[in-house]
Amino acid sequence: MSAPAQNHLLPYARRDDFHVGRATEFTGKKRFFYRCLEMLPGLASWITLIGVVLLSIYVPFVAAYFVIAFALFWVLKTAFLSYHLRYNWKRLRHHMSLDWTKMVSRFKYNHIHHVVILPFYKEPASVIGHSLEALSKVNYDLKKIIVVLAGEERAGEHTQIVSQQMQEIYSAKFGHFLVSVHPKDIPGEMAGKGSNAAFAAEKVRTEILDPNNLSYEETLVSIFDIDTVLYPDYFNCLVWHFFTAENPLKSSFQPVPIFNNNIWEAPAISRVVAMSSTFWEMVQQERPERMATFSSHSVSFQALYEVGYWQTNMVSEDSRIFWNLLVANNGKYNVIPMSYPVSMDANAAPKLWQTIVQIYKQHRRWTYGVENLCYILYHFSQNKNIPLKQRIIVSLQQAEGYWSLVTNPIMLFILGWAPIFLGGQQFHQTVLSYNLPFVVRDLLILAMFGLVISSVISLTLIPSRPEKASRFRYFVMAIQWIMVPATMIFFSAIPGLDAQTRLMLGKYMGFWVTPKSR
Amino acid sequence: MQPQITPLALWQRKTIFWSLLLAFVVSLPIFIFYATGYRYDFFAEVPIITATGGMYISADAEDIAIYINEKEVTNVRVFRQASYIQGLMPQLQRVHVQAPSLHTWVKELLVQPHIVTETEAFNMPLISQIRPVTEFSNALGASVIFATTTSQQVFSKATTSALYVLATSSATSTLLVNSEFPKLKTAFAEKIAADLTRENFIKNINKPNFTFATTTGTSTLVEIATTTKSRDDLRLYEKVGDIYVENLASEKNTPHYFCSTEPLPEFLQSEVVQAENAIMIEDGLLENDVVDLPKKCRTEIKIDRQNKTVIDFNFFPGNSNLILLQLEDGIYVVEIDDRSWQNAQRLYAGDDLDMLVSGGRILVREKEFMFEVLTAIPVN
Repeated sequence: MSAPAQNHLLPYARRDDFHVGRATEFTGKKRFFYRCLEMLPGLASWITLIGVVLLSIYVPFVAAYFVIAFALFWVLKTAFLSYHLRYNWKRLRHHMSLDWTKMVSRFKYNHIHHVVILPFYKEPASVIGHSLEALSKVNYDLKKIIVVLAGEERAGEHTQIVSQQMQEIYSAKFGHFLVSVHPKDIPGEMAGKGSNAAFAAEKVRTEILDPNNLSYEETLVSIFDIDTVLYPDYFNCLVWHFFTAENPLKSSFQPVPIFNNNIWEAPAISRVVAMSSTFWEMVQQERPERMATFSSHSVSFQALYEVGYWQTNMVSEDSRIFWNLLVANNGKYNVIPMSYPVSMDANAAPKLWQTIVQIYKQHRRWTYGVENLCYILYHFSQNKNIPLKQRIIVSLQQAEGYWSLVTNPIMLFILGWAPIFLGGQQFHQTVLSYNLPFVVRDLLILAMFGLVISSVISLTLIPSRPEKASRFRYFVMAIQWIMVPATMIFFSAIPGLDAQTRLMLGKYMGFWVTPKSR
Repeated sequence: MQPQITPLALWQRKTIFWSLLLAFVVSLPIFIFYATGYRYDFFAEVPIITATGGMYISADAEDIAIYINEKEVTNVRVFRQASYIQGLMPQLQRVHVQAPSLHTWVKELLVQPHIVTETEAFNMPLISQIRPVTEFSNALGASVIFATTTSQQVFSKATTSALYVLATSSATSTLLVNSEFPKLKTAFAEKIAADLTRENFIKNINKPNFTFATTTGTSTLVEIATTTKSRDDLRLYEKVGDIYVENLASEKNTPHYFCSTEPLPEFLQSEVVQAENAIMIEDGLLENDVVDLPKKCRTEIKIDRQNKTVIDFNFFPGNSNLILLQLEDGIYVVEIDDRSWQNAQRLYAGDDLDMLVSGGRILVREKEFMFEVLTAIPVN
């Protein structure tokens, strides 16, 4: 299949560097500049962490004041985020209780078609079947839904067998059921979800949309991770948001990913990490100006086509597509939070240590999204049509996000004690040295009240208890949140630092597929 | 139809943000002032902010009560085996540390603003606690004590929680031999032999030798320590009947009681050997300046022997601030820390004792009766 012609692309998207993945794709000054950008996040994080240690040794009083200020900041930040979380929880529950069929009845939406792209690799048929089964039961005219089961050639026979199996069961239920097999070893591509999805999108365009004269502007593409299980009103909710959006063709639509498909089987540590990710997305839903698309999301086919689909040469394509769209549309593109859930899998391997390794690797891949910061900063320096204020604000917001993700938990739970241990005898004799652990501890306990909110909310988001699970598990699920300080360090800060350090050193990561099993 | 709940409005988010920012700006100085020791006196006639200090008291005893200037302290931050008291006025503070059935430890310590005064309290049992080491034990493992004058004397001034029986007969055929007894007996014999050898050596070197006719002045030989005991970086020795503790550690590792940030008493001024290092105290939160207090350290501290003759001395097992003094009327535990008086608590009374510190235990022989003196009341 040949690459799409360039004339459908937005003017900025026609640039050679529009789909840049890493510095090595450039030469000369641009390469140097992009390489500096790649080093920036890692350097900032390492300088911060080492700086706190040096402050603790050489100016422990200043370090102690900084630690107190930081702990206080953390308490207030927790309160701020908890407020957003609680608000979104109310909105999410309300949205789940609404009759969206009735809500969209005021619109004429029969002309809208939905392309559902389900990229998969070696996931078992049970996982794929579960997702397709839920898709076949949505409250929507299934004839308007085009399912694209996007497998990988490198998965071998598995792709053929599973695709055939699913086609036999589900093809008659939907308007179209397309199987695409992404060829392996295409030059310039990285093996991963982005390249698979882009291949599938082009295939659906040439084989279904164009032959059936379906308008790109009236076709919504939903790209779902293969473990995504839809709630019945997803498409009605999506259509409602599409029709009520100020500029629907310049918007992406982001549901809330709740990692609860297998929540009763997953170990406590996995549940905490998974639910924390959900909570972060819920918080972001209430401050959409900071949002980028994440994991499963929806977007018009026209918007995708105008930027040449997902990037095929990098890891975190789910967020990158938003930044592609933002810079190509000169800053006039946004994410609309749907506050409606989709269910996905929490990490669960047969053994606990395997689960822990999986969580670490998955979060390292997610936090490798820091490569997007380089992309943003680079194109913000190139595309002067984006308002300067927007460029500055977005850059600072994204930079702060990646910096705080890595540094905050380590500073708070580990380096907060550094002045006490590194401050020397002179500092040790002071009231400040003795009071520091108490003040910080008390502030952190105060911040932990945010976890109570998390605990309550999490219990309302889990599916019904299976018969084999005891009621005691509810109690465990309530108190599992005390693990948050540890999970923040080991599954957020350290993988984040790992990812940033790799990018800083030019040890680029590939796409690691999280194993799914049920 | 619209969803009834709309997204969080920007004005709401801004209001929360600015409110929390205001809370941060207002409360940060309060937290920092509090952490550095500033306290606001709400009950004073003229409300005033005072720079206070703190006290860190280590104490091994359980269930201790701490009194500062005769008032019990209740707002104590407890570490493991230590208490941290904050918000103390910068002045001389009289500290009592007491616990049921234990000696009370009392000391006057100077509290300085922004500084934590460290001290170690100790509380020995009021009634001596011993564990008899007898030659025989019965089948149940109880020590067999023969009713002698000495054993009666010992139990008139000490108590034990160890299992023992008083033997009415001297027959030993049904009893088991306690292997600890001969070892201890040998250890005491070796100690006494060593003491005698040392005394003879000192006598010999004190005998008049050939001297030049012009030699004048007192001999320094008598000032040579008759015995010296070392542990870690501390040296304990006798000099002209007095006991001294010398610090051999580097400045960094010098125990806190060798140093003071206050002017030392006149009689100690000559012993000040280093004053160059200074404690930097952030005292500038209100005045925005920094005060340097000179830290003065000595190399040796004289132990208060209460005008009694020292028979023997040793380090207290497992504690670098305490020493054991065997005086003419018993064995005492005395602290080295000489900021105000040195607390001395009698561990065991007696005038015919031999003391031995071995394997972290304090062992005593009173005539033919041997026992271990315990420094805490055993918990049953």
